[in-house]
Amino acid sequence: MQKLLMMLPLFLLAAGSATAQDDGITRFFNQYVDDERFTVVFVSPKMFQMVAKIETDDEDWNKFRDVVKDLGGLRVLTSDSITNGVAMYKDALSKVPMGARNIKQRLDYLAMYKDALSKVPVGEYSELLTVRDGQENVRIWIKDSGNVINELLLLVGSPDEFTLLSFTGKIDLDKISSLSKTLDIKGADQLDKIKQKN
Amino acid sequence: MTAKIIFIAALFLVSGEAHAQDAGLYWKYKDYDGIAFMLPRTAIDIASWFLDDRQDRVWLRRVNKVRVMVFEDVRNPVTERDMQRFYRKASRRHLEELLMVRDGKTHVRIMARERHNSLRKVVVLTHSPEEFVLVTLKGKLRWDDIMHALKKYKKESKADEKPLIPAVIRTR
Repeated sequence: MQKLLMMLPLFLLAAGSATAQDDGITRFFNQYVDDERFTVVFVSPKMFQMVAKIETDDEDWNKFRDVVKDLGGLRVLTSDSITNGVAMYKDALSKVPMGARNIKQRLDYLAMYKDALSKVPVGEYSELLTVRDGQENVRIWIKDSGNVINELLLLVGSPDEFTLLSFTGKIDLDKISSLSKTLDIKGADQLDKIKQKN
Repeated sequence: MTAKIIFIAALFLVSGEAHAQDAGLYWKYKDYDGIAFMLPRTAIDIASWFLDDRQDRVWLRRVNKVRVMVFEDVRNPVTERDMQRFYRKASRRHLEELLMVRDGKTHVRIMARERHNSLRKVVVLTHSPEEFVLVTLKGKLRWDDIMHALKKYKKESKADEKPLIPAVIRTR
């Protein structure tokens, strides 16, 4: 019983650290959500659910509906009036929890909790693609569980432009790339690169 | 007697709560220098008589109330505190945020309440220091009604398409 009680705080701590990891990008987003240099778009999961309910005989609409029906939400943070786009890109990049590396650091730091931590399903982003063209950096990360991609994170940074785009939900990489044209948002055109990669 | 007083006070409290969210904003600012009007169900029903398309008439009759308040070309009188209060009350009253766009100082929000597979309330809100637009629609809109409206809108606006996302974040 005593052992169990001792384990409980460890589990709580580990669970807390997992949540903190997941929230890194959310915190970054929230940090700039009221900054007037940035334009913010947030589409809630409810909106996608509602869109999925609307059936028409319009082919374009049905294509769009097919893509967004499994999506859970979309956040966009973009700016073209900043002078430190690359610095912001690096800052945002540092907030992406690269699962394995971070877990290792945490395990080293808190070695005594490693057994408890290993039992906690820690969220993990894996890199899908990286493009550096001159001073423009593009990175796409995905977070998956099994064969299902739950989150796609797109970061674009150049000296004068910064875009953070995050999709949540059940994501199909082939379909999501087709959204690049529909969304018509700066930086979203980089989603095309997923298709090129595939 | 005390019980009666408590009951009356409770009734007042309940009616105050009924004026929550957008209605609160509407009743507070409707007399300011701008456009503010409310269309009750009867007016909407009468308006529907003049529509040619039967489906349009059916669609319109599902709307129970429309509230519009616009402040343009004057300084937006709605205070930040009232806006915060509005958002707080909206979330308490299960008005869910569907879309939020902020571009500079301009905020656009679309909120809705869904119940039994139909939209019961839709609130469209745009506010910036120079402008304020509040449109509220209450009723029982089914998905096929929305589909019909979308189809019609698409046909009519094909020539002059206006994007929902501001031009500043659209690809060049």
